[in-house]
Amino acid sequence: MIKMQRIEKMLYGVVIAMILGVLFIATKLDTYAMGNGISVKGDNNRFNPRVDLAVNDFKLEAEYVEEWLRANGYGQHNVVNPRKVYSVNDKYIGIYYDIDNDGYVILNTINYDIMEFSLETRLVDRSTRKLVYAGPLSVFDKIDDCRYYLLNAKETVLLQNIDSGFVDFDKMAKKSLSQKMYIFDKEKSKYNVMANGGNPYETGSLKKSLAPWDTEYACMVDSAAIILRYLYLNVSSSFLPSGYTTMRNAQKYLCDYRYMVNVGMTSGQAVNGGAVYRRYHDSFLEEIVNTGMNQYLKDRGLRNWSATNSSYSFNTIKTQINADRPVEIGLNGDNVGHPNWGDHAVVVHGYMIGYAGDKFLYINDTFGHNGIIINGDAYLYTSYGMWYIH
Amino acid sequence: MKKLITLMLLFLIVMLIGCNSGEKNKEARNSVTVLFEKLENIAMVKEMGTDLVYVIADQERIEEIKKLIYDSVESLKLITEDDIGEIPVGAFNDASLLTLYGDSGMWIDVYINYESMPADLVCIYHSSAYSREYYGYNLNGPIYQEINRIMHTGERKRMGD
Repeated sequence: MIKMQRIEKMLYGVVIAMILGVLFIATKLDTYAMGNGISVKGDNNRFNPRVDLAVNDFKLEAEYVEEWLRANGYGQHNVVNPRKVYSVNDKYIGIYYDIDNDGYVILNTINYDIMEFSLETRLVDRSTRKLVYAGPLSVFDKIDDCRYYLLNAKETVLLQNIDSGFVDFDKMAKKSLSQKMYIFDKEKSKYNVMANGGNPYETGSLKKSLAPWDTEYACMVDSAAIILRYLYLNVSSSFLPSGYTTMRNAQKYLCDYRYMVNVGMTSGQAVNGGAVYRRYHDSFLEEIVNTGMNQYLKDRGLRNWSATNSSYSFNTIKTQINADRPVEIGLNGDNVGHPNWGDHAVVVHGYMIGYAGDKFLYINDTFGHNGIIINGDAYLYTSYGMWYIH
Repeated sequence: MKKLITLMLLFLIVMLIGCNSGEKNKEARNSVTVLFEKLENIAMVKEMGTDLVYVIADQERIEEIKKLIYDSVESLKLITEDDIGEIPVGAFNDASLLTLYGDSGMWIDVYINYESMPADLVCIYHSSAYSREYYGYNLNGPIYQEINRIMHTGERKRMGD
C-alpha cells in the first residue's frame, strides 16, 4: 500500500514536471516561428505614371532665385526654363530652373528654400520627363513606375533603391514666397549695414588646394595624410618625412610607425591614440594600438603644433579655415546625400554662410575629389567628431 | 520522499529561471521585429568596407540577414545617445556596419560587434534627417563574420563613386 502511494506521488511529480516543461518550451517559442515576424510589404504602385512638364512661367520665383544668387555672392544670372519637381511620393514640391543654360537650381515651393544648385552643371534637357527630387544630389528623371534616371550620376536606378528619407516634405513648415521675400529683404539690408556695403554672405577657404588623394587606406588615415601633405607644402617641410610625401607613402608611414591604424576610429583616437587593429598571424592574434597625431607631431619635432579633437563645431571650422588649416570631420553619408560613404572621414577646405544663416562646407571626400559642397548644419553631425592641427 | 521534493523544488527553480531568460529573449526579439517593421519593407542592405561598399537587394538574402540578427539577439540593453558617444568613422575588420533601407525612405544604421559601442548590437533608426532613435541588444555571440559572409555575396561598389 505504502509502495503504491509512493508510486502515485512520484507520478504526480512527473506530471507536474511535464507541465512545467511544456510551459518552458512555450515561452521559448519565438514570434518569428509563430508567423508574427517581420512583414514584407512591397508597394511599387504608389506613383502616378502621368508625365507632367512645366505649366507655369514661375517668374516671381525666378526673380527670387536670381536675387538669392546675387545676395549670396554668385553674381548676376538668368534663371530660366522652369519645370515642376515632385517628391518620390508624387507630391509637387518645387521648381527646377536652368541657370544661364550652364547650371541649375532647385527651389522648394513649401518653404521656398534653395534645395541645391550648381553654376557649372545643367541636369535637364528636352528629353527629360518628370523630375523627381529625393534629397541632395538625387534629382531623377522618372522613366516609369519602377525605373528612375539619376541625373546627377547619369545612371538608372530602381525605385526600391531610391533613398527618399533625407527631406521630409510633409513635416516641413510652410512659408509663402512673399513671407520668404520679406525675410530676405530684411536680412539683406541688415547684412548690407553690417558689412558696410559689402557682400551679404560670409565665405572662406584654404589658400591652396588639398591633395585629391584616393587610396585603399581607411578614411581617417587618408584624412590625416591629406592634412599633413597640405601643411607640408604650405607651412613646413617637417610635417612629412622625406621619401613619404606622396600618396600611399604618407599613409604607409603613418600606419607602419603606428601613429594611425588602418581601421575606423574616433577623432579622439586619431589625435591621442588608442584605436585597436587586430590581425591574425597563423593562430596568433596581434593587436596594434595607434599612438595618434600628437605623438606624430612630437616625434617630428613640431613642438609648437598640436592636434585637437572636439565635437562638431561650424564656428571652429570657420576659425581654422580662416587660419589656413584644414579640418577633418566625421559624418554619416546618408545624412549629407552620399549614401555610399557610410560613417566617413572627410577634410574641410572651405565654408559658406548664406544670407539667412544657411551653412555649407566645401570638402575633400578622401576619394580623390575636392570642392564637394555639403550642408554644414550641426544637427547632421550629432555623434560625430572632428580634429585639426594648429 | 524528501529527496524527491528537493529535486522537484530544484527543477521548479531552474524552470523559473529559464522562463525569465526566455521572457527577456522574447522581449528583445519582439523589439527587433518592431524596429524592422518601422521600415515597412527592407528594400536594400549595405555594408561598409574600407573603400568598398557591399549591397544586397534581393529579399532572400535580406531575410537571411534579418533572421540571423533576430536569432542572435539575447536581451535588450537600454542605451541613449550619450552612451554611444562619438561614432568612429571608417570600417573595422572585426565588426560590421550595416545600413538597412526601407521603402518609405527611412533607414537604420546597425553596428554589430563594434567594440566601442555600448552593446553588441546597436541600431540607430533615422525617421528623418532630424530625428533618431537608439536601440541596444546583447547577442549570444559574435555574428559579424556570418553577416559579412552573406553581405560579401552582394554587389560591390566603390565608396567614392
